[in-house]
Amino acid sequence: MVMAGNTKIEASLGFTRKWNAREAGREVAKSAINGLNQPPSFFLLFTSIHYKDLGGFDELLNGVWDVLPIGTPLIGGTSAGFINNYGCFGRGATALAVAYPNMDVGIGIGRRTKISPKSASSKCANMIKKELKKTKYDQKFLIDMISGGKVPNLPVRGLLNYVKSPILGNIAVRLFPIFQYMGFLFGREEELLDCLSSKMREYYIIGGTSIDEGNFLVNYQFFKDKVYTDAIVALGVAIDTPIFMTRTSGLGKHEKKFRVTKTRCKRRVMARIENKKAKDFYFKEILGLSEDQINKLGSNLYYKFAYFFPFSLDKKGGYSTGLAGFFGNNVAIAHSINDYISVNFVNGKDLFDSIFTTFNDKADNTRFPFMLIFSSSHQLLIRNKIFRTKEILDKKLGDTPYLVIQPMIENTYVPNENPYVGVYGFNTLSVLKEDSI
Amino acid sequence: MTEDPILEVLNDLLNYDEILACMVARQNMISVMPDQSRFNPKVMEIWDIIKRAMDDMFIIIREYSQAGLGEMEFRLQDYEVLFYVFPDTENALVAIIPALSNKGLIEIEMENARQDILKIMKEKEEILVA
Repeated sequence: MVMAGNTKIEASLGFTRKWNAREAGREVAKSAINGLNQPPSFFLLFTSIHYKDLGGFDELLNGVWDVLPIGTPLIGGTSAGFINNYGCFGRGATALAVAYPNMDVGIGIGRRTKISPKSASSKCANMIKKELKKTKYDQKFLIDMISGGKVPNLPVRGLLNYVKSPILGNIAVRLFPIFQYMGFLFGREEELLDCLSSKMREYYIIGGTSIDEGNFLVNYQFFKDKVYTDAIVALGVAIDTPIFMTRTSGLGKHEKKFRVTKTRCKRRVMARIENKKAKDFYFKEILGLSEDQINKLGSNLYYKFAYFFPFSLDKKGGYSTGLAGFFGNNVAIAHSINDYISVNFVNGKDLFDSIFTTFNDKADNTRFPFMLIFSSSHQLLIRNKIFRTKEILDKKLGDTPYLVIQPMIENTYVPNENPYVGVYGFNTLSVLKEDSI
Repeated sequence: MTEDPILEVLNDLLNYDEILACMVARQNMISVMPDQSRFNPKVMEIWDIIKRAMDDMFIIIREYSQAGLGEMEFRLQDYEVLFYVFPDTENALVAIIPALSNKGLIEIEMENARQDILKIMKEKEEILVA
């Protein structure tokens, strides 16, 4: 049991490695609330995708609600993995329960995010605003989980993220609106966050995109006692103590910008870059690969490059995103493109540096009752070296309950600044203990 | 009879779809191995050649584990074999996975399994000393 309860703000971590969904639900809730001396004010639940086939997420939530006091605000979703005081895990469930009397909490949900993101975001924001309308506390933060992009898995054809033939690739791109309507393809996170942040301007926002283990086939969001696959869920908090939030990027940026000269599918697919075929330009001119090398990679092409060379977009917040797939000569990315893109080169050192930047030696890291961190899918890149991240966090945060969630894409917003949707960042949220103010 | 706790860790690993076979082994000797009926049948078809290649890898592990060799892997046909060496020993946790696996997940759970097994080994040593 990891808890911080010396002040009036109590936080406690829940954790389980049980294989059975119902038992896992019970254990994660029990271990979290056992660390509190009062009922939780809210409960965040994150799990790996495995419970889909181990009883299902409905059963997992049933297990949680076997233990959790009725009416506790609960949101959450699936993530690629998580790090907490107990270790680094690609399988299991974890929770953060927080209790504090001087705090109001509201939760919201909006559905059909891939078809109508603005409507979903608005509904979610309005629900929270309504619940927190009468709050007397002026410090506000919001935590969200968004349904991530999904790759269609077609019978016979298999995963639709790499189509070699230019003709079939063009046909696939033309079918994108249909796939999107069916709930596949792009998560539309940037549209969701832009809308959410415009409606919740006074809130610090942190969150991410729910994901499976990295195959992008399915993902789930949790809201109260229900499970969704197409939703944005969020938890808003108004509190009487200052909010702490940082956002740093682990992206090594490539300064050169490239002009996208032809796009498709609402600017999410690049057909031509610098007036050349997008796929050829990306591989040959940006990455310097030969035709022979590209052909040798064949259908491995997508997985060899999707995680390692994310794009930065010339938007206000400098959004970044990963590859969504290659379709003939077209290159699809997760967010809509303006006129220019640049390609980033990711490496472990930059990722670790982003953590050191956050928890520098001069900062007093004992003033937090908990630390919630969203850091997108680091494990896919640095694999078991992620245990180094835990070593750093243990050293910097000591016994403070901390939880690193690994979504597909992370999102943040700081009042009066630009919203940011991106990859390979290290974003933290906490509040300050009353005695540290 | 209580099951060997190391066997429990290995059986746990076999629950992952992409871990087709696993064991604790050293050169020419498999120390702990789960029930082979739980191994993927396709791996068993080429088991002899995998086993020979593994034994050759253990020569390197024996040579360099004292120098800090932590992990090794090789690819053979459509499979990859991962070796997570137990520090300062000639033993390793070995897993056979498909060549195009999600190593992000597998390597984290292999590391967890290695740490769990190390803990069990240490406890066993303490009991023997006592």
